[in-house]
Amino acid sequence: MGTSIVDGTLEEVTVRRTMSKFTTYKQLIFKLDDGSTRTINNAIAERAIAPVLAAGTHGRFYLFTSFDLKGVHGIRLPDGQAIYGFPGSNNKKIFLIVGLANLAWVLFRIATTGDLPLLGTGLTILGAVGYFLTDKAQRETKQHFDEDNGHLATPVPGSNSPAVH
Amino acid sequence: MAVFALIFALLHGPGFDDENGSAGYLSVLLLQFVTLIVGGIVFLRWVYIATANVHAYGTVGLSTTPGWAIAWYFIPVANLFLPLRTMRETWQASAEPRDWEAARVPALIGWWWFSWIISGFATATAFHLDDPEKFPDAGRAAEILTNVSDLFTIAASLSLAVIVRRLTAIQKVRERDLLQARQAVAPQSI
Repeated sequence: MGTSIVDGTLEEVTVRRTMSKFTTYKQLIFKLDDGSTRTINNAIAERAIAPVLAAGTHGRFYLFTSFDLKGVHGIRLPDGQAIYGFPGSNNKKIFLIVGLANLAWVLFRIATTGDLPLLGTGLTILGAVGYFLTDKAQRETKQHFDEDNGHLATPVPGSNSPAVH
Repeated sequence: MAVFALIFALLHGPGFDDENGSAGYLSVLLLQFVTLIVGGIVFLRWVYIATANVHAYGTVGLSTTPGWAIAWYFIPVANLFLPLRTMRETWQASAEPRDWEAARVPALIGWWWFSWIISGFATATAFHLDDPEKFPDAGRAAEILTNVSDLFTIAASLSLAVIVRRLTAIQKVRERDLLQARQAVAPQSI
């Protein structure tokens, strides 16, 4: 649960599955500007970001981890392109539905039979925690990306092209 | 305690868990519960410290804070897989703080979690079956499941002991290296 930034080049991209709203990756390997490497396993990216996530893409990558997801929520490229997309919106809705549906079930059981269903109670807690954490991650990733507005993405190493605002 | 429980159960034979069962077994069962609570507190304290340590190394991109590393054990459904993820990440970040996701995780961590989950399910099922009114003929099955649970508890405990020992050793080496690196860059007094 948090955000981080990678300045560098995407060296290796292994796609697991492409869906209509997001793409999941088995592995993303970044070569950082300081020469080190950073690997992200089991990542996800929203559909606005996925087309840019290709081997050789250079820029500033904004990464997040949340309750059940981790991946790339933003990119700033040397040509000035800035793309943001949080891929957890669906999960947030699912957690909300799970939480509310099970809360209704728990209340119904208490009202009719007087006993507390353990599974329903557990899923209510899971839904509440999942919704809270995914919503928090969504707000944090947006803030993280917006606060870095105006950052100069470094040019591709070896090129003479200046970074664009 | 699980070993003693298993020995008592095997010595007594069928019926060890019923009203006329082994008094020794029941005593061990109580001690096993107390040990689980005390051991759980000690283990969760270790989880907090180990997770805090990897954050202190400056590792970025970790999915869990020290507080949530403990909380995952108490969130229903999430406690089936997120404590495993936390343990894997803590191991990886301890072994390789910078590019931690590239670090290999020993299979032992998977075996520990598998044993722990099976043990939990066996205990829960045995507890559920141990109701003569609802399941009059399931007494023997409940006893077998109790034994299975004890076996997997033993496996999980032994695996965890090895994991804690090895991970603590890795973190000690990491801390020594960090300390030496800090001393190397600190200005020398004349």
